[in-house]
Amino acid sequence: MSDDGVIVAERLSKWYGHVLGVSDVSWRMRGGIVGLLGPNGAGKSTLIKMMAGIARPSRGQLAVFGGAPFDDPSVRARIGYAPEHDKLWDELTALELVAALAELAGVAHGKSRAAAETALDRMGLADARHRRVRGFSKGMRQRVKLATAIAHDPDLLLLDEPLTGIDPVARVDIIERVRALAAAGKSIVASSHVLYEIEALTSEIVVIYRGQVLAEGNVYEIRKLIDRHPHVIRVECDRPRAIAEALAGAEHVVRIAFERGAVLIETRDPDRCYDQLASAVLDRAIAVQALTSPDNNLGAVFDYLTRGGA
Amino acid sequence: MSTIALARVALRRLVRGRTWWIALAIAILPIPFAYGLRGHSALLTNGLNIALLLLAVLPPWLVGASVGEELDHRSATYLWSRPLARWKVVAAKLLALAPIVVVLVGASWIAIAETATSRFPPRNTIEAMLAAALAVSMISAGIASLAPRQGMALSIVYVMLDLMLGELPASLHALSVTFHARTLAGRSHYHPDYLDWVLLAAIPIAWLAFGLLRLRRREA
Repeated sequence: MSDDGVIVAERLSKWYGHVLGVSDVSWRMRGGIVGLLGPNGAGKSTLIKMMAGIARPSRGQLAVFGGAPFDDPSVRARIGYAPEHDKLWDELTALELVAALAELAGVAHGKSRAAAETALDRMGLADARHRRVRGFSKGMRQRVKLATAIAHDPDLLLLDEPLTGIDPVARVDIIERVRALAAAGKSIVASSHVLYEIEALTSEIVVIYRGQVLAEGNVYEIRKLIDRHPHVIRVECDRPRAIAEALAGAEHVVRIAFERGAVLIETRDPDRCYDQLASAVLDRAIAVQALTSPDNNLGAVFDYLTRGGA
Repeated sequence: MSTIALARVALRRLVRGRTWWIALAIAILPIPFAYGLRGHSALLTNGLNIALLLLAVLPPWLVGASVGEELDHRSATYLWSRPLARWKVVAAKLLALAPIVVVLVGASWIAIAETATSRFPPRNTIEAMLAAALAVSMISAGIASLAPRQGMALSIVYVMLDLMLGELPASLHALSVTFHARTLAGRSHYHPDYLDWVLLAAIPIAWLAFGLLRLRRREA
């Protein structure tokens, strides 16, 4: 396997018993910030766990800095991992926790305290360093996790849902701090199920769904890919068939389906479709109860991409 | 170095939580029972039996629960992602907690014997109790490494079975650490010899080896 890259995965799969976590993923990361985007249960955490060396690939190969993270401690020494959960050693103070984990990552005992203070300072927790973690808010816990990930000065940071559950102000702050780390030369993989969170962090995105990489590249390319996905409009009204008749001949309409008291229109040109819908409703005096677009759900886009629409 | 760092964390967590105070209360608990033995026969033997019951509670409570919690708890993801040999996690727990178990069991035994007989217990009984406390701590760590979620409960069941096994007249009692402890303390029908020491070391080492072997491939 060629090891040209910080992370190189080739036909990587992971099963938990009969449950498939990651399926046949081939992917290469050369540096910078890469965002793993996918809905909950897509396989993002499993992929990150394998990169962090805490889960073993069931099949395929994974190299981080040219070595296998599960088997090679020298590879793990170069990785900083912040898991999705915020289970920490709550009895310890932030400083004790970060210093202990820095020491376990290879920082000398005499230097671990200074390393922890620097990391906590970089994460904006200098004033709270002597407080026990038990009393920390969700946002502070996220920052402590990030401090534990950076305290030993790793080359690669693996951040699993680093922005989950935190308030908007803390979100902006953490995004800035993560970007500063990348600017300082760290390679970073961050996962999220929210597109705008990932967009705020990076323009390089890998889309994961049902354990597979659906797309990767610049966020704009992925946006284009998503935009090519037909848009679904659901119209709840008293006469769904009248709406269907009005739009059936339009070339931008891909598919029309009926539900109880509603019609679903799949279109490649949402703007034109909305115009024609308005005309049909007015001309035929149709009573519309609701007009929604289920496609606003990212999961629907992923489903479409999985079906091969891309 | 990482073992010492982890042992330090284990100690800090112990003294800042309730576990330590509960362990202390458990160690004190047999003393009133020892007082009740006064005036009866075979004081030292009966006192030792009470002290041996401590082995079914203290090591599982302090060592088994701590190892199991660390491995089962999601904080293990922090440990496994570090360049840390996995056996060191168990070694650190033992380094931090087994001496506490040994001291508590030893002190409790001395207090039980003093209370029941009004005399300091013979040296061989103290040595046997300390060795048994260390052995059961290692067994608890091994069992908790094999089955972290049920680490404490299974350790308690194991020691209870071990106590029963030790009472059997058949040679099966050779597999019981509490039997060897009683023999070394001069409180069984058998004469103590070097084999008791060997088995008192070999049984816990075997459990620990099984546990560490399982731990090597454990994923978070």
